[in-house]
Amino acid sequence: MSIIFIRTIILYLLIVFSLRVMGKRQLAELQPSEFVVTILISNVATLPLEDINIPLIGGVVPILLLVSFEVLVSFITLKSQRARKIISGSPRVIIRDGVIDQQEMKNLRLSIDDLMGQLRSKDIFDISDVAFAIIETTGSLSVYQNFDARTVTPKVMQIPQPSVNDNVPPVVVVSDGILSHQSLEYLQKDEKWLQGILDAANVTLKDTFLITADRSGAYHLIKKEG
Amino acid sequence: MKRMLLSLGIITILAVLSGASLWYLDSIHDEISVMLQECYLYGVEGNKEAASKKSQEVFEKWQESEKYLVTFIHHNELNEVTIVTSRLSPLIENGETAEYLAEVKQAVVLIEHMRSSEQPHWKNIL
Repeated sequence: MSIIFIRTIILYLLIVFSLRVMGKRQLAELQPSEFVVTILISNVATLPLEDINIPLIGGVVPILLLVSFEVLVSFITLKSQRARKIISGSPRVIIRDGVIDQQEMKNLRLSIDDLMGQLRSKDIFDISDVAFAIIETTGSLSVYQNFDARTVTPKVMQIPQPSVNDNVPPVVVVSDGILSHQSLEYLQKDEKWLQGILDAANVTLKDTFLITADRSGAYHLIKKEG
Repeated sequence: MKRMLLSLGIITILAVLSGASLWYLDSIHDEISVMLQECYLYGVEGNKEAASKKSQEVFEKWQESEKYLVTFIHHNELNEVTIVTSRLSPLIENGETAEYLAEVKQAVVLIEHMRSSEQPHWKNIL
């Protein structure tokens, strides 16, 4: 049992390392080949755990090789459009000018239910609102809505931008009592400004759960519980 | 770029280790096979003392090399050879010549099979 215990830790660390080398964090971002490699890695990793007669290297070598080849293939597809097309395929337009391309849906083995489900996940319940819909190489659906169905933007309303800081997102300044100097620098603020915030809220840095702030100085503070 | 270089490095290291493991297995196979042939000859000649001594040497040599082989050979295969080689010395010392010779042959076949099944031939890959 101790062997399984130690092997599990080793393989867990190896898989985490491998997925970091692959460089993706979310399943939704994976190309088909990367998804296959991820599934393979998880299956291969179980072999030396299920049977301790199998040397640990019987799991380690396939995992490392799969990841290494995946990185190489990613590099090749990055440089070569042709390779990209062969390995990842290309996006397919399934709704064009509001008209569903039924043949393309047949080619992709995509049912109406699949299409409507993906549209609903994007908060689109009326198919007539869709001008263009594209199935990406990852299998996700990208939608371009008709003009009158789109969300109103300041640009459409011709509302001028009040301040240049409106294009800069808020950042986490303090996380679980730890100050991010990088964030302070990004906000063009200093520790004196932060201390002012803490004094106003009558809290110390150690007792702060979260502070987010933007360049205009607007902030949000959450104290630690308990 | 860093990831690509890391990947190329990993592939290179694994290829080198793979080659090294094959080389080591080959060298162990050659060494132990020669020793087992000597065991067989001593057994046939009826030289029990020499056969027993050589059998013990085979067992010790196998145990020493098993420490490294265990990292890349299926443990069940290694256990089979360990069991067979451990029986050689007691068998010849007790005058069980026929069984001794059979066990020596079995050890030769097991080690040869182990070596050939690790070779990157199409029959093994497929």
